[in-house]
Amino acid sequence: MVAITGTLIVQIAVFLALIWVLRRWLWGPLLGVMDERKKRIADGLAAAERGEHHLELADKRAREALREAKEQASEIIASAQRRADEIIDAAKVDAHTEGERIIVSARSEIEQQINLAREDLRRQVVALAIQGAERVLRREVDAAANEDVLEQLATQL
Amino acid sequence: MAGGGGESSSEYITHHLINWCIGCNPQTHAPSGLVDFSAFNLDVIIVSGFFAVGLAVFAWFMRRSWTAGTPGRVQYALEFIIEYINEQIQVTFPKANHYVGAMAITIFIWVFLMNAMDLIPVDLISSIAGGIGALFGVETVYFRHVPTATLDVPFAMAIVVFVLMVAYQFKANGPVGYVKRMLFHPYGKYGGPANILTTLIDDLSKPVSLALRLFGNMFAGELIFALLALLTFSALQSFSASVLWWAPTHFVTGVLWSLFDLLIAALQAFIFGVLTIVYLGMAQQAAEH
Repeated sequence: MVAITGTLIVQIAVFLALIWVLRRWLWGPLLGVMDERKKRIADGLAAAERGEHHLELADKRAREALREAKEQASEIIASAQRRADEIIDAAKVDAHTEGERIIVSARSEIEQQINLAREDLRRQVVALAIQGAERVLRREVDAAANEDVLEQLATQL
Repeated sequence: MAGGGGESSSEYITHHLINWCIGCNPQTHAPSGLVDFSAFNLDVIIVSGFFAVGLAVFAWFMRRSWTAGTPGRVQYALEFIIEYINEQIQVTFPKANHYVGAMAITIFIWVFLMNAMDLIPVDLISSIAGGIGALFGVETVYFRHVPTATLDVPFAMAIVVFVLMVAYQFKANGPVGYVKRMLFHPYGKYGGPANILTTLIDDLSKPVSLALRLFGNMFAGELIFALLALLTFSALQSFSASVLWWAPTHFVTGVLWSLFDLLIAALQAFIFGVLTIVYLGMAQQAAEH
């Protein structure tokens, strides 16, 4: 009823065999699987952390780029403004000189016209004077003989 | 079978405590002495072998289906046990090789399954075995279906643990250290034979207590099932109570003790496994001189 029998030896053999079997097909594989899962989780966490870090970096970079772009844009606008001012100033100067030039040329033309008119007038006065003198003298004045007198008269007018 | 056919109460109980034995005394159906290596308990070998083979086949079929992804229920349950055992090993025994853990999980699952046989109705399997025996013309068939309620199964495991303990002590202390531990521990240089005696008791008490604790609990559990069956039937019968009385009484007491015995079955398997790790952990620590 209560005794140690030959069953003991059989049981030791069964026990050892079962340990070997479970070590090989249950304990070993499951432990491997658990270690692998542990590694996977650790990797996943590390990757997530890396991703977060990357995101932060990208965010910073994006902000930097935006700031730079804004700076550049305002710079461009400023330089364009400057350039426009320059162009306007130059145009003003050009217009001024052009106007002056036009005035000068108009003046000289007017003077020329005056001179021409004066010359014309002088000639007519000379002709009138000769006619008048002819009338007075009732004879022809020898224009050739009195040319120097007429010239002198013309210049005096 | 319970109390039936003119069988007396003590005959009923004794019938339950006799193994199906080959090489036993044909009259008493018992081994010739306390230690008799020519006798073999076939029922113990069949039931424990059934679970061992079942576990091996299960492990073999499942060996490739364990996944590092989301575990299924079975895998999760096993991982829970393995995780716990590993934790215990890490605490007491960080240098352990894989066989210590494998041994602990083998003990835990195998012993639990064998203990859980106690929950099968006490007369069911022996009745079936008796019926099969009757077909072959065998008059009385003895069949105990809880292998851990015999001395052989717990002692087989305890002896393996003990051998490993000695091996680890030897490895941790070296041959000289091992002898020194025997001679000078725990009373110092002048302790003499008292040292040897104490150390021997210290070492031997571990496997013996390990084995006897499991055996005692399971033997008692089995015995109480038989007693409950007997009490509810024969005691009420002697008060000429009808089947209307003893059937429900039997049912209630059986259920209550089953619930408690389930706890004992799990607890004893757990204790055996954890103490194995603890003892081996103690063994591999070099003794301080």
